[in-house]
Amino acid sequence: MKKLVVLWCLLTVVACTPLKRAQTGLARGIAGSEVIKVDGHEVYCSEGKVCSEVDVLSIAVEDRDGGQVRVKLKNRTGNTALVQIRLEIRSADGEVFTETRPENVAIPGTQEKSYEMRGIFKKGASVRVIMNTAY
Amino acid sequence: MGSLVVKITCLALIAGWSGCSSVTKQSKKTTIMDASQEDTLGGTGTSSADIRSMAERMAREIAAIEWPPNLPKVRIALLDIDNQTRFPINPNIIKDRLLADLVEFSMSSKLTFSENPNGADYFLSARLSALSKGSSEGVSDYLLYSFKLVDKADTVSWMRAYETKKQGNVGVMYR
Repeated sequence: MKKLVVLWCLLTVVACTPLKRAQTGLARGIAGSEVIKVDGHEVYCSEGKVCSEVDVLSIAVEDRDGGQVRVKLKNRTGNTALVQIRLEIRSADGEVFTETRPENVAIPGTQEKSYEMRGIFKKGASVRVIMNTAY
Repeated sequence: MGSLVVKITCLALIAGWSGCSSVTKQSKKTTIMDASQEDTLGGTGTSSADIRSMAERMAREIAAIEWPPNLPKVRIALLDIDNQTRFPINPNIIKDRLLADLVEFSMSSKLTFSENPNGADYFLSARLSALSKGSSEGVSDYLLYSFKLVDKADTVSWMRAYETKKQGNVGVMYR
């Protein structure tokens, strides 16, 4: 019995990190992130569920320095959806020129809404829309 | 022997699965949060996320305005913010966040900022107003934060609004 307890303690210590990794990996696998392409830009959903509940219908940009970015969203659920949106303006090789702060956006059930940010675009760049669940 | 190995393996798995407490999880006494995160206390007034979002929006827009080419420098004075809502928040929290963002996003432009209106080309003012409702079921607040830039002739040359509407079933004290 004594040996069992010692073994238990030993295994707990040794196996803790890999098990935690497996645990979070499993959780990530279930809730999984998702990347989709819309109008040549990228949409990243930290949890796939966000993208399944809120669609990004279009991403339009004013292709000039200081131009506007407009993201058209659609709530596919029947309830008011709340998502946290961040924009990254990136070069073709992934360098981030500008990033915005997270902003909570509420979208009434089944409706469409435009999320606009003026003054952030860089000529020739692309947009990465990051959608998270809002807490 | 075989059953002992199974027992040990099972014990180790259970212990590992449940006993490995998260090292990034915070204590319940104080939680350190991201400033753009909503807290769990709720409340239908201004949140830190609102302040950060609105300041960034306004600052980016002002930085992207095409100013008259005859002005080598454009000096904008930030005036005091008028809080007409029922929430006793200190409007300087918005003003300071806004000023910091204006300076950051206008770094390479011809804009300069000051809190002193003397000698300014434009004046940036803001007003917080609200439509508040309450019943036995709860409270609802529509908050309108309007920002405007006026020139020396008192002509509005730019104006934008930031709005929030929040409903809750519990009142929260803003201190």
